[in-house]
Amino acid sequence: MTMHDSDVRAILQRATDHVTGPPDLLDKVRRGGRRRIMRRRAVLAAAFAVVVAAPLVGALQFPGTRDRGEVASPIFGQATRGDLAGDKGYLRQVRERWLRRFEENALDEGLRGEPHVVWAGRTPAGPAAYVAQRTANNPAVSDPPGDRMVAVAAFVEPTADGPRVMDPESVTDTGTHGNSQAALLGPDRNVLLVLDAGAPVEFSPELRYTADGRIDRTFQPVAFRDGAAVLQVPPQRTKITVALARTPVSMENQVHITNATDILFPNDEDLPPQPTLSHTLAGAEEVWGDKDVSAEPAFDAYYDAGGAHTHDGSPLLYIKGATPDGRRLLLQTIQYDDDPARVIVLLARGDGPFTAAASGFVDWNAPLPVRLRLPDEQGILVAAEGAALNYRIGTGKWHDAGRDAALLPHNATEVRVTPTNGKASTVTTGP
Amino acid sequence: MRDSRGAEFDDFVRARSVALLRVAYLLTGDRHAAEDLLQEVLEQVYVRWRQVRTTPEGYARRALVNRAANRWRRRARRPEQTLGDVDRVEQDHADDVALREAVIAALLTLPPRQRAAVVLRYLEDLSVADVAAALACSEGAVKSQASRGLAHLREAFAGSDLVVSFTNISRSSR
Repeated sequence: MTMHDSDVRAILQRATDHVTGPPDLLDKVRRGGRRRIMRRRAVLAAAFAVVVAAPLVGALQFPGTRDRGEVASPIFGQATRGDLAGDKGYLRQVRERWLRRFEENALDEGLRGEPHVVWAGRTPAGPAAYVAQRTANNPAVSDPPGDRMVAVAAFVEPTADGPRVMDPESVTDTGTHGNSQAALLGPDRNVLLVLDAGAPVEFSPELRYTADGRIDRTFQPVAFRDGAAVLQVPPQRTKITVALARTPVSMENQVHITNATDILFPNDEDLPPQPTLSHTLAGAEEVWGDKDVSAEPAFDAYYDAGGAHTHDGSPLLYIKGATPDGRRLLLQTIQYDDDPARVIVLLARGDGPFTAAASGFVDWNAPLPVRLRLPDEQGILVAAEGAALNYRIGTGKWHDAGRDAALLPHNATEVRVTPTNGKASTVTTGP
Repeated sequence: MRDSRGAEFDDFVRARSVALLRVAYLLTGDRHAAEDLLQEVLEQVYVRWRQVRTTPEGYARRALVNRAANRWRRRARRPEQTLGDVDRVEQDHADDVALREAVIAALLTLPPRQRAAVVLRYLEDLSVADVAAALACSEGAVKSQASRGLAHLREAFAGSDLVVSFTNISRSSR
């Protein structure tokens, strides 16, 4: 018999009649959604691109819920600044959009009073603003501990449909430290608006690397005028090359850009998994003892203080080892966005501090992705995950160097790399 | 704690999750995988709510199709789970179970985009334009995919007593 379209509809419906949603789906979705938000921030933080401003989307916990009376906040103490401070039409439009934003997505804490336009001004992307409003309740927030939420604040960006309120963030009674202080505006995200929070800020438009893989940035002071600075920057549509930090520039002093997450995760896809490859070379136990691998300051020159980055799923390679003269050896890779991975080797004598001994770039597609010559004739560190490694000196015989990673003698001239299911390649150790 | 998504997101999930779960079920052929898939997609909607709140269902459908397609790619290397093992519910009428298994088995033989086109067009009763939006392809491509998928299903069901009896029942009940 002929099956009609209506038959197909009926069959598909009948085949799914028994399907009902799990009763706890909504709770699970909400919990999972919050975890995703937190995870994305954690990833950013791990890459020293901390978004700790805690936008009000489930990131904060409120152990307390009641207010404790009037609490002051410095952001309400001043009249509107910026060259549009007197533009009543624009300010009215901004306040309307603000109120609509919170009518549509009401806050548990409630709002009181009127929204205060802290700053409003022209930018090459169009008029922009920063708005804050007091909350009716002042619950304690989990971070910073002891602080209480007193207000919400957000940048307002120009769009073809008029002003748009960006992600609101909570403001605590100790001020806006930790809140986003900047926003990337315009369809190309090439206008950087930075609020003047009273502390000097430095800015770097582009990220470059030196030949040995160190971060190479040029910072310049941000010149604030009437409450903010507007900077033209290269387009930041898919990745963020700009860096902003209070002085002195450091990871701890990073100035947060409110829409960094939106730019770095445009389709809300999680980052690709990043496999961790850890190897301990022969002899490491003797010199390492029970010492832990912690965040070593010697890596700082390779991390982008003030920048925000993702990764492309390249492996994170860690190697612990010992040099022939008894120094502790630590290798690590770092990779940002779609940039090439970099590899750094640190050495430390005894309990002394680590110093960078060698570094460079990694080509994970090469037969021998990692090949670094250590100073003082301490050897050549090589790594090729899953491969058997052999070396020789000149035309001498081949020596077994184990699998995955090895510290070869300094005078080794060639490495033979034999993948588990592949053809062996011979690579010269180079200068 | 209620957050800035407010009741709007909750309402969306309550109102549309069953329909989306049914789509996920036919896309995956596995009840548990469908629930996992839907949860992943709704979490994605939660995170992106600000951007998608005007059209959350369209966004969710696109995400379902994309994630299901990725899942198919992953599962292509291992055998499909036996549907009856996980989905059979004792109290289900035997005919219903048999029909369900026949439908799922037939759908699983379709290429992913044909399957999605058929499910969205005939289960969700979406317009060709809406299916095109969900599959990120042209309306012509949807018509072609749905037509081929339908033809394949007709072949799969040809001579099936279950479907014959079902179509007779469904017509007589109209």
